[in-house]
Amino acid sequence: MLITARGVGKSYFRGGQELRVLDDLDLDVEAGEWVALMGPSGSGKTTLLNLIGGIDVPDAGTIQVAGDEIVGRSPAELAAWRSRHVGFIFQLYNLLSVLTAEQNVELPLLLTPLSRRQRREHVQTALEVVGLADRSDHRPSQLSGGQQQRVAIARAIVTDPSFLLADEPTGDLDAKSAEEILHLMDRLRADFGKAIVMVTHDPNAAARADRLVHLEKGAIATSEAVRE
Amino acid sequence: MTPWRLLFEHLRGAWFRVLLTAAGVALAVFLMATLRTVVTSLQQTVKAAGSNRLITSSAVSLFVFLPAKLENDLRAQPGVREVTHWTWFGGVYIDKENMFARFATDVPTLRTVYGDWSPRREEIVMPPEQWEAFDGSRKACIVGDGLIERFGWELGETIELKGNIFPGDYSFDIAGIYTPGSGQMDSQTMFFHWDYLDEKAGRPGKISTFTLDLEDGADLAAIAAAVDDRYASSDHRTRTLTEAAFNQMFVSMWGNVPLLLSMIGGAVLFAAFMIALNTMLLHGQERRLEVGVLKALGFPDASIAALFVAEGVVVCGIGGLFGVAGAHVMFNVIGVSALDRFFPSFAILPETELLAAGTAVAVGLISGIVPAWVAVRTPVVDALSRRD
Repeated sequence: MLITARGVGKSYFRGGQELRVLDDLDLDVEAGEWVALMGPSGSGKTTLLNLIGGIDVPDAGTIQVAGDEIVGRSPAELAAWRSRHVGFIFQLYNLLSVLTAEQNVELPLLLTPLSRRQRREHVQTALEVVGLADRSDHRPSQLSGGQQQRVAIARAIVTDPSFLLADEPTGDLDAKSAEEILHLMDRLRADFGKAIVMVTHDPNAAARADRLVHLEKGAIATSEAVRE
Repeated sequence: MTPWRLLFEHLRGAWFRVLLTAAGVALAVFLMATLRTVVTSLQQTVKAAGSNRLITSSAVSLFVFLPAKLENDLRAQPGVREVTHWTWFGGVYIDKENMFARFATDVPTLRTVYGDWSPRREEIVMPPEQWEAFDGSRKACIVGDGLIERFGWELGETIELKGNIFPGDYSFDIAGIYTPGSGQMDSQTMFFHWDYLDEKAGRPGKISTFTLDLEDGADLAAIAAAVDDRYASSDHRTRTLTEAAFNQMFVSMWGNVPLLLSMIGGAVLFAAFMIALNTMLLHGQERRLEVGVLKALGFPDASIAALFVAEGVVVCGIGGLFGVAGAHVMFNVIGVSALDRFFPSFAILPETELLAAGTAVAVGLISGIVPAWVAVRTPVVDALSRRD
């Protein structure tokens, strides 16, 4: 098992009121598995994604990734862990506007001991995987939404992370671009064996996953295989 | 790409904001350096004063004359090596606007105390043949090289002055051009023969100040006290000060102006700091999402903070550099003649340049630390959350 979450709880305080977002939640994700998280707003999908990605910490429970416990680590330890194990794909791409596609993809590699030449090779490979090698010197403003999301995916995979976390990766794209992104994610899972945990509201996107987990009121309501 | 490339790209991407901020800091640093230089220039006149000279003037006021007959009496005082004297002429050269110092003096003793005959530092630097020419003609005068530059005079040229304190028309031949040997002397003074003045004025025998050049090791305080005691009960009481104290007296005439200037300089700098800080904070807000992305990718807080601090230092540092360079070129290379009329040597000191540049860097450092601190304190999830 790649990801094992047990008894995970998380609350936020808004206006002096405690808001229980996740409550005693268990989740397992296998290596190479694509899991789609669905559910109504406020059901805890994104919070769960953030906890698995180590950018937020649970109030209760444990989360193990490849056998390593990530709960209880310091912010600096979590940052180092994220740089090695997690690739993030955001709904609005979150590329740095002042950098070119190539430079955006190279960003996570600055945290590795790779030489400049090695970094360039990795970036080139990642951009080829997403089909944007010929747009490497373009800035985000010079790319379409679909192309920006592909650059963001290249940035997510360039360090060869253990798994990818995607927060509504097609939420801001037209149907054609969304299909291209889903196809690309399918390739990452099938060809490169990347586990993917994806939050989505789109049934078409969820249908591409191996398993659909439905959350309601901070707990898993259903978990069903989508395709064999 | 290196992490610093990100800094460079940000600076390039926001070049107009960077330009405006740097220009604001440059202007503030320029003003601060200028005001500081006013203060240091005043202090320089005190520091450059000779340590073996006393100045005797009327105890009543600098504008009250002493009788010329005191000269030999003062020279006879124990410990006094030589005595020379300066008398403020006032006068007008063509127009009242053409103000510069004009003193009537005794040439041989001036040369002995301040010129090339002095065993000490030469304050009035001039070729011996020009000293000879000055001494050889009663209508001769010498002028500082600053006046030559200001009025375009030439050696041998005759200049006409209209007297006011000593009424009449005076004509002088330029026999020498001196350069100041230290900050004690300025480059915009004219010296001429006291005998010529005294004769034209009907022999009133008036002297503004006597300069007492003392023997090495002489007790300045004791001699000053002895001189003043000697004339205490006469109708021409004297006030004898060391040259440094005499210069300080002129500085004191500025009252608290140096303090005021320092305060204005501080206020200007504080305004620049607030501008830089505000700009950096706004920029930090704009980059909130970027901070979230960098944190999510695993960049340590220290690296993210360093980017903000470095940006503040670079922007303000560039501004500081231009401000200091501007002040250096203006005061030390080109020169501002309007200021030279008030200060013997108005030049920005290396320590002032260092202080101004260092202050600019400090402003950048602090204005970068604040958004850096905000960035570090912001949780990743909050930084990534959209605010639309």
